[in-house]
Amino acid sequence: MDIVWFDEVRSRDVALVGGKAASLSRLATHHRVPPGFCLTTAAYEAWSHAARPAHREASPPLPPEARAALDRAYAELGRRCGARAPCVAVRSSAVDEDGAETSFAGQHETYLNVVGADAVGEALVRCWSSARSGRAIAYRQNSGLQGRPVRLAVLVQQLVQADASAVVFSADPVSGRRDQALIDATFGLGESIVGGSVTPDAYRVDRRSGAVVERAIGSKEVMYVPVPGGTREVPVPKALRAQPALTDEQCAACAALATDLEAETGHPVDIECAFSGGRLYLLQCRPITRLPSDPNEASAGNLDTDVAAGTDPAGPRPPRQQA
Amino acid sequence: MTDPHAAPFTPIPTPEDFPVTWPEPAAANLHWTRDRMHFPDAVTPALDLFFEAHNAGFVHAFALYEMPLEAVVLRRINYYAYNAVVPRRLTHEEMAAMGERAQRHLGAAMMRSAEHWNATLLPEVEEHLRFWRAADLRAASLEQLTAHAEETRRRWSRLWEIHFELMVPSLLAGSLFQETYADLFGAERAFDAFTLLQGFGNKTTEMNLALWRLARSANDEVRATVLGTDPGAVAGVLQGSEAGRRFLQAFDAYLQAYGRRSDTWELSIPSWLEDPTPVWRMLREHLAEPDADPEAELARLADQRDAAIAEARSRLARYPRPVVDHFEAMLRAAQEATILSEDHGFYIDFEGAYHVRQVLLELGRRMAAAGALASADDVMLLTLDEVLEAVRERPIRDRSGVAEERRRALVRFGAVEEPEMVGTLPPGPPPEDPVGRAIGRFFGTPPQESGDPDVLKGHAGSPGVVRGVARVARSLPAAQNVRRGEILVAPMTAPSWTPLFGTVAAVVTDTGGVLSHSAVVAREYGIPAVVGTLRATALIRDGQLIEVDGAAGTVRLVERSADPA
Repeated sequence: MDIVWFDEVRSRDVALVGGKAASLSRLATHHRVPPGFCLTTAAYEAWSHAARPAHREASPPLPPEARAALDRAYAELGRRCGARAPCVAVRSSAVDEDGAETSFAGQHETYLNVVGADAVGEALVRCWSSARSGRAIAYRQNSGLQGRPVRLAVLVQQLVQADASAVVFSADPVSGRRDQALIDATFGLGESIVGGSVTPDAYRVDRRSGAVVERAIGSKEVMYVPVPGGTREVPVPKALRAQPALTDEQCAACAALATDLEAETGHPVDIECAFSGGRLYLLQCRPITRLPSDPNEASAGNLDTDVAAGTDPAGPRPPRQQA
Repeated sequence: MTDPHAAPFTPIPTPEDFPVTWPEPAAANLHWTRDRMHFPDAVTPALDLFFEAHNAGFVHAFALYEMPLEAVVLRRINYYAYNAVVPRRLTHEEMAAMGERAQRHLGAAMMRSAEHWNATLLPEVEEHLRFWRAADLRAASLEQLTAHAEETRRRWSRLWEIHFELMVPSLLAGSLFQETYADLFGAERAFDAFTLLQGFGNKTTEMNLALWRLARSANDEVRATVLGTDPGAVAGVLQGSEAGRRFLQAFDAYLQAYGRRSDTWELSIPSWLEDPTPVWRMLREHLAEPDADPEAELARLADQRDAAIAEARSRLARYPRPVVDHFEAMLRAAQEATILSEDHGFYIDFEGAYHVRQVLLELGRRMAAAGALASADDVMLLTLDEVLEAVRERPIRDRSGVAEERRRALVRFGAVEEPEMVGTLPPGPPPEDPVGRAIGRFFGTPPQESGDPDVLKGHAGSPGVVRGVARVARSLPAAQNVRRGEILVAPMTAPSWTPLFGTVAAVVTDTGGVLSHSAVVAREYGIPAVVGTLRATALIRDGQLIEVDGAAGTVRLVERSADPA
């Protein structure tokens, strides 16, 4: 079975692993990204071909050799993150002939907090099967895609046990100011910020000094936590809600990370990151689209048109998801 | 929002047989609620001295923690104790800002309560107690005695400053831990929170274990004597034998260690040291139950606690670190608060009051000897100011007439149905904040109607279901007749009632919330409790068969009240 690790050069081949994995792979060369591997489009094809003569919607199990390869990869992932049975996220990532991600049903299958090789194998088969579901096939027919091969990669990545999660903008997406980074942060996994189920803390950080210049503590009524077999939204203890999710030092570290990524990519970025056990993990990085021009440099060229044009080295922008 | 100070004052009408006059007009503008939880019965004027100390203690603690309230004050109105919350005159913005500061102060204080108590407060309390223990009241001149009384008044106020400096954050810790537990594990399991706090030793369990060991030290002859003799006469009979005398020695040592307890907060009732009858009764209970093992029971509660903590920790294993840290900090604070809520009473509420009583009694003896009172005990019918005024005159001013008048008034008001509230109606509901919720969990909030005439609704106090015979006791002396396996039904249970919890099968009270003393102690003893029913003592008949569901907070009247017993 074709498996590619984030630190292999092949993992930057968008046509093989999808844009999301390719982007994470690039980020992992310079930043702390949770380790992971990809089941490539070739792995999906092999499974899918083996299943073809049978019912289209059945979910053929993993062949024994594929199963053995997955077990080995999962065990290796455990070694890399220092856990015998690491918690992982299993996500699908579909790719069209040009390597761009397409949006059809089954593209965004995501299983969080999957523990154990058996469970990873089941999640993998579910991701693959979703691309063969009646709904997915109907969608492809309606979109004129019937007859073209489905190209689907599946990403298996450590799910970091987030103490606090943050979304960081390296520039102010509203005013266009480039000298301040904006941070939204909350306790637990980032789903509650991304999904809008909480009012997160909002911090404004001076990028040069790293100082927090403005702080609005959000109500943070709920948080996403890993529970056996997935994640769950639970209340944040009342007395903790008024406490900031990030310390000033953590805010400065988030702003510095976003500033570094802006320098590397050449564009203002919005990133998702998480603190776990005192370490900052980078989970996703995208260009900020439609950024107003910097009010402090009225004469400066306007970056946002370039960015919006999509010639972005970090890959095209998928709908925001917990990465 | 309106300014509470601008709200119109609505005076509460008072019954004809309960006329209220206010020495200072501002007091009429407060909302006074009857404090049945601490003072179920009429109180003597001597208790004004306690109210003075109590109120000074609250003012101290609320100022220390910058609370948006001035104090919770107690006052005697027509021989009944009422309490009221005294607001500060602040704008809403000032009040909100102060409330936030108070939560910060209290949050910091609750995290170091045990350390503060052990390192600073307890040593000071012990210094005050040593001062009193060292005084030879009988040998003092009248001048020395009055000076000692003034010093006693000052030190007692200080003890109550310490009391509330310790207990306000402790109460909040218990309340916040319960909220944290409910947030993390679901409101339907909120009650389980207390399992994580149980089974720690404290001064009360220490006292009970010491009595149990004393009972175990009795040989057959002593056991037979104690079981077969009236508690009032047993000491005399034991003097007649060698084994009896040895046992009496151990009994006296027990009283010296644990007997400086006055009943409730009333000063007119003798301590165990003065009248050990209650201790003989408890001893008989222990002797009658040779198989009971309170030490093993405490260990069982501790095992249950450790298992519950381990389960909670495993459920939180993958929760965000700040949440786990918060849970652990609140757990520790609440465990410490649970221990301190018993320990402080041993030193302050009990021994402190014991010494104050001795000083008042000695003044009473001097007055009685001079013919200024009919008996030394009548000193409790006067306030300390009245006593000091009288003893400064030569000859000592006769106050026997005043005392007699008060005695008659006390009897008269004892027969009156006193109103639940006097003064002025509150302008609105109490503030919804962590401190307000903590106060509600201590004093209790009005229970819901059950809708079933055979079911009385209160607050869940301690889990478990028990069916048994109700023993309705309006006072501690009346409760001494309760037998093993019966259900104690009382207006409240002050810390002095604690030893009974080892005997009864369940407890039902009129007053209190889940953090009230009755509920805390019931959980510590592992017996069901329903608290804050408002009217259990009025509705439940002595001897009636009832069923208590402590987790549901309900009491089922198995036999209808109209049924013959």
